[in-house]
Amino acid sequence: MEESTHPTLFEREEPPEPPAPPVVEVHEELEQPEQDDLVAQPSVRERRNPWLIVLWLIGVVLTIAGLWGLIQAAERAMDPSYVIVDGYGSEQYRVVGVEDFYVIPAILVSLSPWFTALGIGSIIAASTVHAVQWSRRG
Amino acid sequence: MTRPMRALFVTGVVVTLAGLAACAVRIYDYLSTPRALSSTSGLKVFYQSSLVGSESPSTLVQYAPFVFGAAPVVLVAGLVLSIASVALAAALWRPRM
Repeated sequence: MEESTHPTLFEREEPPEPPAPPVVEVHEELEQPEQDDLVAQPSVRERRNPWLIVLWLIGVVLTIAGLWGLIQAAERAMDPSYVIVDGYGSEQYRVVGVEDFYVIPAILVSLSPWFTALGIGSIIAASTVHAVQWSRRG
Repeated sequence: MTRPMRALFVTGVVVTLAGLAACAVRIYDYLSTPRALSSTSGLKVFYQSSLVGSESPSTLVQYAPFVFGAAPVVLVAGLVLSIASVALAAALWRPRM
């Protein structure tokens, strides 16, 4: 009688066990950010817009200079000592040069309104950039 | 600041300096060309300006009222270009990551 090649019930192999889940080793060192990541983040100083600071400075300086020029021009126009009245005995008579009488007032009157307008425009532009960046953050 | 904005800024600075130079030249021309005294001209009498190197500061001359011309316009145009470039740079600036 020939021997059967098929395994009997008792000789059958047990089914293979399912693969064990991979062992995850938690390293506490990986939980913390590395030093290089902290360096890569932009600092507060780098987040400041340098051109915005320059724009604010230009606006403030031009506005102050323009207003000062306008006040100076108005004071010169109202100051009677700048009026030459023939030079005979007037108490308010003062000898002024042509620079004080014609040139400087012309410079003040010509440039001061422009400086004031440009300064106010720069401040408005800087405020607008601030507003746009504020809405982007939200 | 990108290259076009840099070009705009440089153009503005150059135009501003040209306007300043034009203002200086205009003032120097005005002060260095006084008019001779005339009782019929109706112009005010001043001592000759010492800024243009008059030989005797007590020399009496007459000057017509000073008119600037287009020099301040050039100066202001340069300022407008410069400020516009700075405003554009501020609006388009992003922090480096």
